[in-house]
Amino acid sequence: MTNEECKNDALLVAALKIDSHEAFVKIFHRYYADLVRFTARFIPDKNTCEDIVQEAFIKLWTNRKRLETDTSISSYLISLVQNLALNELRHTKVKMQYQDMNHEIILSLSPEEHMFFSELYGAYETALAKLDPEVRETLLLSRQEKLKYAEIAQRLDISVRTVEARISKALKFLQHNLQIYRVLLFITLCACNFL
Amino acid sequence: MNHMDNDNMNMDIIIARYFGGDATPDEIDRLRKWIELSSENKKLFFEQQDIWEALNPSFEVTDSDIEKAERKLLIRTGIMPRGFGMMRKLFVFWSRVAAVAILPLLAVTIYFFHRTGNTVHQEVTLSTDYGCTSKASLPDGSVVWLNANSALVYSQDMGGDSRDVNLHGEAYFDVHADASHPFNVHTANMTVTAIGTEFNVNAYDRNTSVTLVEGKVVAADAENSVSLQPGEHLTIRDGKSVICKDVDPDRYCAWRNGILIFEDEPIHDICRRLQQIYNVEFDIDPALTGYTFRFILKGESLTEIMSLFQLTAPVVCITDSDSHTSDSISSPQIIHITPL
Repeated sequence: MTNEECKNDALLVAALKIDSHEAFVKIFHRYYADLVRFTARFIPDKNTCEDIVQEAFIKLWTNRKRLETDTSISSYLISLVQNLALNELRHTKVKMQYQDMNHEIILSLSPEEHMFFSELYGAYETALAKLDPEVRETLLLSRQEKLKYAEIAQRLDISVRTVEARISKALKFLQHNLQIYRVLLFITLCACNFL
Repeated sequence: MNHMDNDNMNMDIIIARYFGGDATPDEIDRLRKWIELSSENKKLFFEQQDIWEALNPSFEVTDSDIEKAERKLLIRTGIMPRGFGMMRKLFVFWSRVAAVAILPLLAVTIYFFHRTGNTVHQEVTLSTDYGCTSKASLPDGSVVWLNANSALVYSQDMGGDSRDVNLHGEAYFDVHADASHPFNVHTANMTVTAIGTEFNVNAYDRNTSVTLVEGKVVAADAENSVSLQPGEHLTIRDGKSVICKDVDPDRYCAWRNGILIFEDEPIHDICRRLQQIYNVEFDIDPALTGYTFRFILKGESLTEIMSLFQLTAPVVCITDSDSHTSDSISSPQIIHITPL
C-alpha cells in the first residue's frame, strides 16, 4: 500500500460515510479478487469463498456510518472475512484440504499480518527470478504444473527428499526476500498512519 | 543445539511435505505443535503458506466472477434496484445486438426519413457576414457556397417530397442528384427548382438572378416559370425577366474563389454588387451614370478596391468620415464617388 493509497483510503471512508455508491464500488473493485483469493487459504471451495467475501462487503456497507475515519479498509475487510470464515469453519463440516490444520491459528493473526497477492505480486516476480534455476524449476513444477513431489522427482530424476529440500529452500528464500518488502511496506504504513 | 538445528531442518521438510500434501498424520501433529510453540514459528509457517498459496491460488477469480458479484452486491445493498440486474443483462445483450445492427438500421432510417419526411422540422440557418464567404454541405449531400451578407435557411432533415431552402443574398449550389426529390431555392420573389445541377442564385434584393452552370433548372415567380439551359443567366428586375444566353458563368460564380469579375459594367451595377458584399453604401455623382468599367478583384479589401478604382478610372472616392466611427461599426460606411 502506497502513501497515495492511504490518503485514498481516508477519502474513501469519508465518501462511504456519506453514502457514496461510487466509493463503495471502487472499494469493491480494489479488494474483491484479493479477498476471495485470501479466503481460499482456509476454505478451498470457490462458491463458499465468494459468499463470504460478499457478506463482508455487505457488512462494510451496513456499518459505513460507524466506520472510524482512520480505518484501513483492507484491514477492516480482512478481519470481516476472517470472522466469517471462522464461523463457516465452525458451523460446517465440509471436507477440506486443510481440515487437519488448526485454522484458528491463521484466523487469529491480526489483519496487518496478512498480505494480498496483488500487493506482493511485483516482489514475487523479482524474488522468483533470483532463485537457483533448478530450485525454481522444482517449485514451478509443483505450483504451476500441480505435480506431486513424487512426479517431480521422477521427471527430474532426483529423489523425493531432494524435491522436498528444494521446495523448502525456495520458500525460505522467497520468505527472506519478501521480508524486506514487508518491512518497506510496514514503514510506508506507519508513515501513512502518521500523516 | 545440534538437536535443535536438526529439528528445525526436519520441520522445514515437514512444512514442504505438508504443502505438497505428502505429510503423514504424525507429521501434521508435530507441525501443529511446533507452530504453537512460539509466535516466531507461527509467523514463519504462515508467511510460507502465504507464498505457497500466492504462487498458485486454488482457483482464479475471473472478471466475470467479479462482475456477477458486483451486481449481486449492489442489489443486496439496495444500491441498485432489484430487477435492474436482469435489465442490465438485457441491456448488455441488446447493446451487442445494436452494435451489429446500427449501421444497417441507420441506413434504413435515413432512407425512410427521406421518403416519409416523418421527422421534427428543425430549422438551420447558415449566414455570412460582410466581406466573407462560406462553404457548407447540406443534409442531402448538396454543397452550397454562401456569398457575403447572405443567409440560407433549411430544415435539418430536408425530408419530405422536396428539398427546400430559403435564400437571402447570394449562393452557388451544387445539388446532389435525386430526381424524386426536387431541390427548391426560395427567394423573395421566385423559386428555382433543380434536380441535380450547379447554379448560382443572387437574391440580395428585389432583383434576383440565376445563372445555370450545369444541368437544368426551372425558375418560377408568381406568374411565370421559365426553364434555363446551361450558360443562361436570368434576371428578374421590377417584375420583368430577362434571359441572357451564353454568359461566362465565371462572371457570376467566381466569387466562390474570392474573385469578382466586372466586364464593361455600369458603375451603378458594380457599386450595387460591392454593396451586397461589403458593408458600404455608395453615393455616385449623377455625372458618372452610364460609364462602364472592367476590372477583376481578387480578395482585396474595400479600401484596396477603392484605391484601385481611383488608379484605373478618372474618379475620386471619398469615404464619409462621420459615417464610420467606432461606435457605429455596424452601420455601413458611405463612399462618395465623383468625377476627377
